[in-house]
Amino acid sequence: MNRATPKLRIYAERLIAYEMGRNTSSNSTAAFVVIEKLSPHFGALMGAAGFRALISRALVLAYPEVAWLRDLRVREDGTFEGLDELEAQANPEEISNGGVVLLDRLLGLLVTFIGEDLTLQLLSNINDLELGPED
Amino acid sequence: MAKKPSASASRKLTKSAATQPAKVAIRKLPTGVRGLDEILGGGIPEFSFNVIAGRPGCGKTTMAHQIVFANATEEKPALFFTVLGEPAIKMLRYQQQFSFFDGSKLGKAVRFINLSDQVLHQDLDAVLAEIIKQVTATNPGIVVVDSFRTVMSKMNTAAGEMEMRSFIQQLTQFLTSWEATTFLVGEFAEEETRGNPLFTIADGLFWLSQKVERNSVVRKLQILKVRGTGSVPGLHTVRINDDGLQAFSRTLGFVLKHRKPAARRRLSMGIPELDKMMGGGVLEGDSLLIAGPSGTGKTALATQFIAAGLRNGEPAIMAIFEERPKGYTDRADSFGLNLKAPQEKGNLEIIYLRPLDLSVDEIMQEILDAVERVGAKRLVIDSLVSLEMALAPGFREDFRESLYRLIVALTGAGVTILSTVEVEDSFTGFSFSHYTISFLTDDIIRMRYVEIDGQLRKVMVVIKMRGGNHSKDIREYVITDKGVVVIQPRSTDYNGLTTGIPTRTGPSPPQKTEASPEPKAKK
Repeated sequence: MNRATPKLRIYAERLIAYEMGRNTSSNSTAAFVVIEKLSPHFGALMGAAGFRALISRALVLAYPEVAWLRDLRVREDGTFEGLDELEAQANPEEISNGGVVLLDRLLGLLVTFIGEDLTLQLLSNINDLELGPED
Repeated sequence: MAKKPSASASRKLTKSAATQPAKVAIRKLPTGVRGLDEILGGGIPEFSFNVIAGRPGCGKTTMAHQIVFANATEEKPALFFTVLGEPAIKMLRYQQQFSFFDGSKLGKAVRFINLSDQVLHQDLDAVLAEIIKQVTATNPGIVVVDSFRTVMSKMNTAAGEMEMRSFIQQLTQFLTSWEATTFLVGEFAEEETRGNPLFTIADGLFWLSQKVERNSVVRKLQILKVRGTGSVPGLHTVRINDDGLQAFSRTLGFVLKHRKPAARRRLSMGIPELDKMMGGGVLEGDSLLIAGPSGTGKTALATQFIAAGLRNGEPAIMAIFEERPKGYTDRADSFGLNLKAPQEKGNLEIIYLRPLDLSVDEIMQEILDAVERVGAKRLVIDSLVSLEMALAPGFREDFRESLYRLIVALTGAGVTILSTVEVEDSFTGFSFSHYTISFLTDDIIRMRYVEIDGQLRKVMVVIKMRGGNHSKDIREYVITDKGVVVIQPRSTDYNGLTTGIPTRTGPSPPQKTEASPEPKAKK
């Protein structure tokens, strides 16, 4: 079940696009880097355990669409365990699309709880996240 | 002749005056809670260290949020530390429903920081270190810890009393030195306040409670202490609505914005013969009680009183508790009195207050707001019986006290009040009211049924007028298509009119078949 709005989906894609443009990480895992960057900020708000629980829930919500996400685990620090192994085996485009779905589900959960306006407001306060250009 | 001070003495005096230490001015911060600033004598003293305490569901967190959003700016942000209580994401979910919640402040002006990990997995030093780190980094004007009770539970289990005192002392000293106004929110029971260092150290102690009475809940706030300012003592009613908490000071209304005019006019009641009975009309700024049983025309008289004022350019408020406003305007129409036009022009407001769950303070606030809004000179409360019925059971015991405050506040501001009260005609007694409220009124008019010549007719009498002489006549009146009309001069042919069953003492006139002297009002 996807609870994110089209506006948020575009927002998620732009966040990923900017991360890809920075070339600091593999393009296929850019979405996961974005999520990892969210961790300290949302962790400060809701506690590290609280944000981990939210990512875990987003993973479960994304399983029906992206089955290989079942192989990932969320570490204590909010990073993903199993991503390196996947990156070595799977198609980069497949990983990239899976990352978009996961980020989309995560933002969708935030929207469910606190609404779109507040979610965007909180995201806009994160300095090391930028939006890529609009298509 | 007074001795002139020597030059050296003058110098000493001057020096003494110059070195007299100036009293520090304590700035008061707005609470964002309507009515609370008034209770606190202007607001919360800046840099104070406060505790917001009470049982679950009393509105502690909401009050803290209101204070935060009322004061936080990007330059002086608010830090809201959450500790193992309501998850922050749910708190945001619920708090954003209130009108005071400003999402655009989130992240910069208002920052939420979760301390659960420190409290769960580390010791108090780590908790303090994290607070110090965040406060040092952001230089906040407001700091909230919610729930501090959880932090204290940690102290009780893992630390000794001295360590707890030390923690609180360090926290207070640090936050005060950083010029932060602090609020520790927690679920505490009243018995826990005794000997607890937290409550000793705190500058301000806000105690929220709620009491269930029959099917209604009454919320109360008590300022147990607040250093540096004078607060209104006692229990104040609190309501939580879409705007968050609203507090109603126990002395609500006693702070008057306008004063009663020095020279008071006589105001027409809209019934010429009644004006004569009252020595020219009711005195401006008086509280007038109209008492009588059902159907005697109290509401009709009240409507005429309002209409007379409107004709004279005096805006008015009708606070009604039984009938809906349309019933009033329709009745006025049937008397040839147009209330709709002044309503549309904003000179008249008919406030219909939904029954059964109101606090008397809310009603008072509604009426005071409306009076202020339209600049009302006349107010009708129809009726006191239904006003009392409209109150939640827990507030009924405060009814007389609150009514007293309302009347004193409004009449003090020059508003003339007409209240109606329904009383039963006993045909033996002549009571004015169920309540001992006569002392609240300057003037009383009693309306009642009497049996005369085989008819149930109506009479009225002015019982008292504090401001001057009045007619003592008992006068018959009817309700016609003009409203209440006093028709007969006083009758000397009967004794015992006030009992309702008078005895004829004068000649018995020949009886003839006559039409009812009281044609029904037009529909």
